[in-house]
Amino acid sequence: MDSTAHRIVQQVCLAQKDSRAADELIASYMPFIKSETAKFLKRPPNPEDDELSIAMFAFYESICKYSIRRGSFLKFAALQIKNRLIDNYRRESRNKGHISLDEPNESQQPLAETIPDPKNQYESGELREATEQEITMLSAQMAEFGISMTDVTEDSPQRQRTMKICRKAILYAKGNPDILSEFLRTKRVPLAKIAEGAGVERKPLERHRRYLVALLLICANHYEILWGHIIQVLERGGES
Amino acid sequence: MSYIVMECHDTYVILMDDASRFVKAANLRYTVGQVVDDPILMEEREESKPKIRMILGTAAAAAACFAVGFGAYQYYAKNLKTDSVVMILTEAKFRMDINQKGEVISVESDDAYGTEILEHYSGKGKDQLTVANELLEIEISKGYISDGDTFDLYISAKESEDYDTLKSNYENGLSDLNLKVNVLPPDGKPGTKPGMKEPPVKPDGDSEKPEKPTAGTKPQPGENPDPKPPQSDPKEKPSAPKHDDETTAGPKNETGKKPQPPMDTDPEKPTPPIGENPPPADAEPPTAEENPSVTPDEPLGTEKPSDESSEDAEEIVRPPHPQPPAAPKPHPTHPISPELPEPEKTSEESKEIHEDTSVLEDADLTESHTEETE
Repeated sequence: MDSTAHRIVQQVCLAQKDSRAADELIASYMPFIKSETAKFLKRPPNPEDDELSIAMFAFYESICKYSIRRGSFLKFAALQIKNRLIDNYRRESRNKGHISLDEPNESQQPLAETIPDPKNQYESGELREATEQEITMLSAQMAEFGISMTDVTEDSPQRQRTMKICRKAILYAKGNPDILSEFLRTKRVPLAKIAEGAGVERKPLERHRRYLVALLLICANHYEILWGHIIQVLERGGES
Repeated sequence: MSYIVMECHDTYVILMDDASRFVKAANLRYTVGQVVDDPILMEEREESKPKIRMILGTAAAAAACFAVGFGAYQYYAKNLKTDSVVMILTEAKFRMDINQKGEVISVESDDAYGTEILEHYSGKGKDQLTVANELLEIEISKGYISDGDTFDLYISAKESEDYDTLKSNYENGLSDLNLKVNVLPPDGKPGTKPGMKEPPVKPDGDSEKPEKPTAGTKPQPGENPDPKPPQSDPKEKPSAPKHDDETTAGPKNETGKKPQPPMDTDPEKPTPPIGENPPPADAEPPTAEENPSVTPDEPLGTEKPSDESSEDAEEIVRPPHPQPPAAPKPHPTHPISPELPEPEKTSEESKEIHEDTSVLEDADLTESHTEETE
């Protein structure tokens, strides 16, 4: 029993550092996740159930948050799964008065099909494909810099003050093509120039360097969809 | 807020919101490039507090607790803890518990007078001298004590300096009243609290004086601490004791005082009269020095005591160096031999005399009696 618990803790510690190990651990504990979901649903979960996806996500959260002080990992994970499912149930309860677009109408057709779409479905499909293409290219470029999306997520600023500093730096780099070309050429972020030009401290920029790499790649390579998604907020945040 | 799905995993997806933040969310069958509006986001990671801040917080909390505890103890020690006790021993006995500031914590009394006074009076929180003055004034007004009376004051303090201070305070502070204060020293070591029902005992210097032997008691044979004179032949008759200093020295102990009667002597046990006390079976026959009355060859009436004082009588009892026995003169009424008990002929007469005199005067009285009988 002790050796089993020790082995789980070791696996969790490894999964906290490696996302692939996390996926493997989740896959190996799928019966446990389904069991906890079934306890909440009072029935075996289907693969299409949102509750199962939420339970898997809660298990992943448990891996990220777990420390040895929290006791047994499986008990901790079970509690996290239960709490997440309860939160989802409450959130869904607030939308009980609404009708789902997937609900079939009298002629057994989904409700969404009967509502006229203001956008062209073809255009939206193209937009998604284009977006996916940009994201794929961005991921490939990020790999050249030795970073992944997960790294960018970990370096993403959480506080408003840090966010403001990063926005100022990106907007300054966007307005100075020399800095962007230097960045692409040297594959290094010219933190000193950016900090000096944007009038911000260098230390927060160093702390969020991988996040800055991702955003500088977006604005340097003219990923219009992604840049268009963030530019309004960036400019608003940069001005304020 | 809208999110673009940037990366998909089995259990989670990475989203980028319109504020350019990258976050993780539950993968509810999303695909890359999809725009979602209401994802289930991962909770923000709990930022671990710096260790130094936790240590400082703990230290501050501990210091605050210590300060509160120390303050509470100081308040208790100064205001609520009994530092000294003063007992006023008049007709009504009062006990005052006094704190470190000299204020009275409580006044108690277990007798009727004191209880009656304390029903209408509470000196709690007042100065001790004020309370003592007021209590004495009440007693004067009620007539329990009157002007000029002397009352006892018993002070018990933790430190001798405190005792001296309290003593002088009371001696000076009660001078307004026309009363005399007799401050008693603490009973035993300082710091002892006198009980209400056990007032302090005055140190009595007479307690060490030897008690006078009461009537009816006499030293038991064999308990005389004096060195025994050389045993004389029972057949030889000892001479009468002389009156000079050497011969008339009584049964003195080392200090020159009279020997005390044994403590285990039962006063209620009737003491047999002279001549009626048979020796124990295993005891040696009493010698002339130990009990002249039972000495068979005692030269009764051979010599009268020159003085009738008890000292002379005591001295006659046991000469330290008895003279060689003179020719015995048989006593008609006391034909006592060591082997035989005394006859009962003269017991009543001897008893009458013995009751009024001390044990150590037995020999003298016996001689007097012998003369009378002759």
